[in-house]
Amino acid sequence: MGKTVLEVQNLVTEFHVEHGVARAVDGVSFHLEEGETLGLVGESGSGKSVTSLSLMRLVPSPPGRILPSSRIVLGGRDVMKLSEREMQAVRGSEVAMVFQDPMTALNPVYTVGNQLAEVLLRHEGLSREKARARAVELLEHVGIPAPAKRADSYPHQLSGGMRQRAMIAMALSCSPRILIADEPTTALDVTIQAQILELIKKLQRETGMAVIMITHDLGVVAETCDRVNVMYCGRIVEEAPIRDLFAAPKHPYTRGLIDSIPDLEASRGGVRKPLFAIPGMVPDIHHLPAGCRFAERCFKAADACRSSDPVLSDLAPGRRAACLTPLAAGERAPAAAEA
Amino acid sequence: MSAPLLEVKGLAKHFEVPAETFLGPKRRIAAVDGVSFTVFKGDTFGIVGESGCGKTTLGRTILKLERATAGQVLFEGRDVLALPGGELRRLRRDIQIVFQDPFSSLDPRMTVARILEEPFSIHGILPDRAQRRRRIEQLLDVVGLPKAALERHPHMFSGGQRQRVGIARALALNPKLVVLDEPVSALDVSIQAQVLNLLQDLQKEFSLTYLFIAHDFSVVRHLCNRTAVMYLGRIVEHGETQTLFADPQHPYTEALLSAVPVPDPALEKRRKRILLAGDVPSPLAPPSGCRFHPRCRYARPDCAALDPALAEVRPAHWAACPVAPFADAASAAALIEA
Repeated sequence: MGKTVLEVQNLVTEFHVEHGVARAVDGVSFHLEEGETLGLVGESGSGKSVTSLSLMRLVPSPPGRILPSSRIVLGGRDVMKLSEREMQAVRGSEVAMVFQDPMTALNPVYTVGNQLAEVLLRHEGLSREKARARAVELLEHVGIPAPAKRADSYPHQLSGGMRQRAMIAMALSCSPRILIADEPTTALDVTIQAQILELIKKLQRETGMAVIMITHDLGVVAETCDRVNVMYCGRIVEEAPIRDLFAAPKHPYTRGLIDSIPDLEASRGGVRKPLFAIPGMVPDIHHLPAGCRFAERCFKAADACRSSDPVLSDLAPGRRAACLTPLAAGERAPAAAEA
Repeated sequence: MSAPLLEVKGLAKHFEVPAETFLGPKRRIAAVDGVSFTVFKGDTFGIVGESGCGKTTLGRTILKLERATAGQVLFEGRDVLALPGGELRRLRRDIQIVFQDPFSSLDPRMTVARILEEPFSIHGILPDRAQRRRRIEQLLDVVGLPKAALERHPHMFSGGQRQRVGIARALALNPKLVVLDEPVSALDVSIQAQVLNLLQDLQKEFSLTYLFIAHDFSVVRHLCNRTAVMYLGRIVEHGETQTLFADPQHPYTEALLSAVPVPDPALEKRRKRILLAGDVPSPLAPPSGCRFHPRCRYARPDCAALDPALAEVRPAHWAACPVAPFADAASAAALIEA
C-alpha cells in the first residue's frame, strides 16, 4: 500500500448554462497512491474529463465553478485554497496532463522544441541553451527519432503518434508526481496506441509517478490500470481493484459495460449472437431522476431504487459501489446471460 | 455458397495532390491500389485497417462517389463504373451507405420526416403522400425510433438515435447491399451494442448484404463472416473471419491483433505484445517491395524488392506474404504465453 499523493473529497463542479445549472461532477471522492495507475472510466458525459480539469483547476470560469466545499488535497496542500499564482507552480511540476488531441493541445505556431523549452524556462529556470538541449533529450527519451531535427518541426509536421509523444515529453519535462492522461490514445490507431501505452508504462516505471488514466475503453483499462473508478452521470458508481472489477463487478452499470463489448478472444463457434446492450440512454443532466440515476436502464431496479439515491459505500477493502442491491458474483442481466 | 453480389476487380483510386513546390512535379496518392474481392449474397464482409489505409476511399469508390482510376466493380454482374447515368441511378437504390459521423451526415435544417422522404422523391417512388408517410413511419419503427421523432431535427437526438435515422434512410429503398462506413465508432460502448444488434436484426429481416468498414477488430470479428485487412491501399490478407483471427497469415494482421487491448486483465498480463516500430509510411511515398517490410519483424533483405501478391494459403484464405513462418508455429493463440 503506497502513500496517498492525491485525495479528492466531495468534488462538485457546476456549469451555469442557459437552461440553469448543470452539475457535471456531483460529489466525487477518490484517492490516488504513489506509483499506481488509477482508471477513471465512463462514457461521454459521465464527468470524467471535468473531474480531471477540476483537479488542475482548469475549469473555465465562468461558466464553470468548483464548489468551495470540494476538497482536493495534493501532497498535503489543499489545492482549493491556493492562489492562481501558486496553482501555476503546481501545474506541470506536481501534476501534468496529456490530452486526447495533441493537435489542439500544442500551439501550432511554435516548434515543438520551442514549446518544450518554454516550459523548462518557466518552471525550471534553465538558460535558453540548456533548455533547448534538455528539450532534445526529452524528445529522445519519449522515442522520437532524430530528436534534434524534430525539435525544429511544427506540430502539424508530426504524425498523431509523434505529437502525442511530444505532449508526453512536455508533460514530463518537470518530473511531475502525477500524470493525468485524458483519453491519451483515443485519436490514435491501434498499433500506435500500443506504442503510447507502452511508453507511459515505461516512463512510470522509471519515475515512479502516479497516473490517472481517463478513458472510455475497458481494454485500455485492463491493460494499464491497477485500480478503477467507474463514473456515470457525474458520480463514481463503483471502485475496485482491476481484477475484481472485471471478475465480479458490483454495480449493474459496470456489468452492463463489460457485457456490451464484442469479445475479441472468446470463441463464438461461428455463431454470431447478439451483444448485450444496456437499454435506453444516459439521462439528461438537467432532468436527472430522483432516485438512482441508472435505475431506468437497470435490470435489477426496484421501487426503492427510483425513490432513494444510493451513496457510494464500502463493500470490502478497496471496493465501493453506489447501489442498493449490489450484484452477487456471476449475477448479470437475463439478456446478457443468454448472449 | 450463394451467388456473388459484388465483385471488385483490380480497383484503384489515385488522388493528385498539389506539388510541394510551385514548379515541382505533381504528386499522386494511391489511396486504393489494386484491390480485388468478392462479396456473396447474405455476407457481412469486413474491411479493417488503420487510418490512411484506404478503406473509406474503397467504399466511396465502389459507390461511385469517387471516380475510380482503374478496375471494375461488378454488382450482380454489371459493371457499376461503366453504367450510363439512368441505369446508375436505378442501381443506387440497390446500394446504400451509412456514414461514420451521425452528426455531419444528416442535414441539420431538415426534420427526420424530410430526411427520410428524400430518397423517395429523388427516385420518384411512392408518389402517394399517405403511402409514403406510412412507409416512413414503418421505417422509424424498424430502427426503433418513436413516431414523434418525425417532426424533430437531428440536433434533438443523441448520437445513437441519429445513427438510427441514418440507417433508416439507407433502408428506405429496400437496398440489397449496404456499405457501413465505421457506423459505430463515434458511439459509446453501451450505445454501440444497441446499434450493432439492430444491424444484425435488420440483416436477417431484410436479407441484406453488408460491406462493413471499420478500424475496430473486435467489432469486425463480432459482426463479419468474412474479413479483409488493408494496409496502404492494398488488401494484405482476407478470408473467413474465424480462421483469419485464429490463425493470421500476414505479419501485419498478427501485429494488429496483438495490439488490440483485451478487456480482461488476467489475459492482458499473459499476452505477449508485438510492438510495431514507427508509423504507417506516407501513402505519397510507399516503401518499395512489400509495403509493410520496414515495420515487419520477419522482413528479409529481399522484401524491399519483392512485391508479394495475395496467394491462397489454405482454402478461402489469402495472404500477401511468402516470408513469415506462419505455416509451422506462430498463430494468434501462440501469442498468449501459457
